[in-house]
Amino acid sequence: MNKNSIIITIKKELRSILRDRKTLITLLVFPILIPMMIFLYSYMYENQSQEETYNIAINYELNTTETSILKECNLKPKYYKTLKEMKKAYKQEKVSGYIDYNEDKNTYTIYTNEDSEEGMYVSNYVSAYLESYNNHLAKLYLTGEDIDVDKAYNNFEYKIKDLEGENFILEIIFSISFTYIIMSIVLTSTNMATSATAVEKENGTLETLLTFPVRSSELIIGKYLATVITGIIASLIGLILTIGSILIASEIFEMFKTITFSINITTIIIGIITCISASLFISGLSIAITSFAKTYKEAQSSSQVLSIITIIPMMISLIGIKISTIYYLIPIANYVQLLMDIFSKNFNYLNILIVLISSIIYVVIVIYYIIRQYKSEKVLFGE
Amino acid sequence: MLEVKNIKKKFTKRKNKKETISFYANNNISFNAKEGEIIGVLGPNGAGKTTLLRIIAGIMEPTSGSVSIDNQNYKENAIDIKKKIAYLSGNTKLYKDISPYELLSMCGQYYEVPNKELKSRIKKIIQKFDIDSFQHQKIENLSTGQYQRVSIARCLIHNPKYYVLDEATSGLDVVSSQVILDFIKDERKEGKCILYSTHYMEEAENICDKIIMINKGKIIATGTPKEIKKQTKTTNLRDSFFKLVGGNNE
Repeated sequence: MNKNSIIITIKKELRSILRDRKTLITLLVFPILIPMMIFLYSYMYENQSQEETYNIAINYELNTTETSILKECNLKPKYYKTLKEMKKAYKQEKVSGYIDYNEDKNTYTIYTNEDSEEGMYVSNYVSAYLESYNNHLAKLYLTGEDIDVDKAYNNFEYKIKDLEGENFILEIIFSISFTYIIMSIVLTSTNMATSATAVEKENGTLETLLTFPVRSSELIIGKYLATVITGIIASLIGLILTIGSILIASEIFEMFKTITFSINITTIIIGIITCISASLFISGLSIAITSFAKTYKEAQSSSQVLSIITIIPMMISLIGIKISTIYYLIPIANYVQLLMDIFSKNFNYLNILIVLISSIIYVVIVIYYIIRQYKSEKVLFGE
Repeated sequence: MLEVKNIKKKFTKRKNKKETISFYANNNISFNAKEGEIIGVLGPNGAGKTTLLRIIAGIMEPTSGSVSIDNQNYKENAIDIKKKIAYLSGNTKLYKDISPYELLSMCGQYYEVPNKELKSRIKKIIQKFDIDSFQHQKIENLSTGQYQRVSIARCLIHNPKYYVLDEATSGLDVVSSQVILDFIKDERKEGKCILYSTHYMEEAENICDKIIMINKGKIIATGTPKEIKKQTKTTNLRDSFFKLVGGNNE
């Protein structure tokens, strides 16, 4: 193979891509979306996780103990004389629920829509308030009967300690971020591959290129490497922005204090290797798919399937399906999963090895295929 | 010398999901072309002219037969042969997002013209085709005439011995066509060999030393324009063409 021809082809392809605004935008848009998504999601989650106080209607008078318990339970009581008035207030959305106290039967009835998120919280908070008040009354009774309240209530102690492992919030942030990184490789690679193959045919420049003293294998390798370079650039921009955004977000948002993630030199190096592997494979696949197309439109529609595959790992992680080792053999999906594993401390050397070795095999197959494909007159001329 | 020996090119088309049809675009074509000759390849649409010229230019491979240039054949010396050929067709287009200068430079690099020589050659070609004023403009912004001049200029960058021109004047106005025809005549004077396909019979009659008429993939007549007219007992090549192909020139 003539290195000179390959280098000229790489330069030619990169130059055309640098002068094409559409591809440049694709190269940058997806990575730029990553920090925006991380900060927005962190902000939304933190705001959501702050406990809200709900207005609740009651038709009985409160003592000081009840008032303080209600406050502790995030409930703000509003007094109404009758059940009818409470119903009206609920309908007018002045309160999120109401408690009807029957003095004769000494019963409390909670009214709220438990199917709604608000009703679910109100129901839990009111239950907690009544439970707590019930305990308070029980303690008063026991004290009156001269019984040791501590012995009756505090038979044992318990604590909750947060263990490391899967973290739902981090999993969502990572799955979206890393899906975006792989998607940015898919989009830039397919764009670049489309321009290097289908657009060359559509514009009639491929015939010019074929007249040069260059082997078709040198041409396609040049085109492939140019696609790989753009894919690597896009993914590394994405990776840097993801890591940077998570480090900054962890300083800004409280929620990150309870989340453990792993950003260090080892994980970053493995992350970079994963991105390079992904670019090598996805670029080859993009060239293989777009080479059959005769026009830009045809190439874009046939390469859409790659974008769809990229979303699968995100869906799997959001649904919470447990994955097996075989999953790491599925190209494209495995890169997203591996990046998530590495940075969320699910470090498994076997999975890393599976992804890297399978990538090498897939890349060799795909390069062999595109070289053969570019010798075919059907692919070159569509005849 | 360019030698085409028993060239056959078979294509297979899918008729439907189960059936395919095979046909020969070129069937046993042989001829020679010497330095300083202009060979006109004529024939109706679908006769196999483009396929033949693409095979000669090394863009396509024949199913059987061989093309050799200066005793070298494509099977063993494809790269060396391509360095001696320049190919220009109505279908070959230029990269629109680069300038004529960048295009010439890129072509020269592909042909491995040494850097120093490349610069002086680009300078000469730019002067010859009057490209100075727009050499750094994007090709997409050039007029048809300017575009045509750049198309020819890029063929000269490696100083080829053989030119393969496939309907290079089709769709062009008189002025743009003349640029190409003048270029062909100039190159013949330089001792270059030119294979030239066209639909314009008058054009071919005026500039070609030898004519090869093809129909349905086979050579149906060959010789100088005079010889062909004599063979067909006609007064011009246009009538000869219709007589040979079997059409009506009314």
